[in-house]
Amino acid sequence: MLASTDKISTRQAIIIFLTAQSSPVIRIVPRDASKIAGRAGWLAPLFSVLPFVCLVYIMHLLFEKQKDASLGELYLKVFGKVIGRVILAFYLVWFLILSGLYLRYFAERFLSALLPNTAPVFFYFTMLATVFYAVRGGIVNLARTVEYLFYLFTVVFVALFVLSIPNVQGINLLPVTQYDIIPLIGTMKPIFGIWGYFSLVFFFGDEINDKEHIRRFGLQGALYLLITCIMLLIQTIGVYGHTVIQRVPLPYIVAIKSISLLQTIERIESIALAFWVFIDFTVISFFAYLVISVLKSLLSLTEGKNFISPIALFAFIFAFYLANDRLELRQFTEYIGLPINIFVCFIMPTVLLAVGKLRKKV
Amino acid sequence: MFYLILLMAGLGAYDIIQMRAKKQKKQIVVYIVFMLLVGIFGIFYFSSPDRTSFAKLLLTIIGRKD
Repeated sequence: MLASTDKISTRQAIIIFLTAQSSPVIRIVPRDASKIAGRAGWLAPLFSVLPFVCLVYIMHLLFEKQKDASLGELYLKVFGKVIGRVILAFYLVWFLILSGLYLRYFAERFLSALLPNTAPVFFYFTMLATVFYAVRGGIVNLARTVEYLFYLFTVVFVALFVLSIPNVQGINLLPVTQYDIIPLIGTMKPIFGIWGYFSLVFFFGDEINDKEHIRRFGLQGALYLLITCIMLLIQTIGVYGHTVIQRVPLPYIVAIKSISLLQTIERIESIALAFWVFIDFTVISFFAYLVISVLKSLLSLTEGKNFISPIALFAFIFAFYLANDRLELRQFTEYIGLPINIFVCFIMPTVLLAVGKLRKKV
Repeated sequence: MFYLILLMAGLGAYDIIQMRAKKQKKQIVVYIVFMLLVGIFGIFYFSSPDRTSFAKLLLTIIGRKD
């Protein structure tokens, strides 16, 4: 069967996920892993990769026989129209909240790292204008843009890691003992709360071509996540130690600031920040597109690209309304955001698969 | 708030013209409802920006506000 040209491949969909998860992972994981597991925090991804692999298999089983469906359509099919619509409405509200949340985090990063006296409206407006333009272009254009920039981002990320190696101190990472296992299990909440976004990609599953490759590309994605996340944690905890990293607002930027090339080229954190803008663009576009996809499934719409206007406006207003300060924003993520993410990204698809198999609908 | 309403009206008109050309009646209805809800939310927030934030509200409800 020939693949449709107005759809993206599973590989591209997973690249969108890998790029989208980078922004919250870089922001949350170093701080939370060092807070929960201390010196052993750099091993945290080893524990979260197991449920992630389970999630890959869940998605593989869900779409094994439903190659042209989206996750939204599966909810309606398995749970029926009433319960299915209630579930989709919850997803819709949550995705709208997350699009506002990531917009706010994008502005907060610039306000705390580079441009403290700038009005947040400037950041909101510039980012939303870019997202508006990209999402209106459709998923194919968005996926291609993200794909090229993903490779570039990975190269820069690895290069910055290599440049950080001289600053990494073994005493900050070792020794690790068997007593660290329980705290390391606790790190699954922040890490898997973000990696779970993998399942959300399939809300636009009707626009993904070769879903028979979910398992293959999903497992490759798991390997990428594992390696890059360990690199990130070695780069942050290894340079400054867990006691410092759990107290600084932007651990990655602080670690990058320590890089000095031949004692002449310094302050290269602006490169990292530039790429952080790109991954923020991806995560905000990702959630904006998810809102459109859920709206399409929920209300049986044929096309949804025009809905980016009210979505962008909502994100703009909600980014202001969400929190009064950074502490509230952090508490919202820790106590509400991550647990709900695990619920909607992991528990709900598991329930969907179980009910679907019982009712012989998937 | 004035600029927000102006932006909403401009974008709304542009999108509705596009959807009308494609004869997407259902989309237009959903779009107008969605845009109106966003407009109401905008008026709600910008009429008193110092109100209790969404995060604070939820954190207080679940008893996690420090």
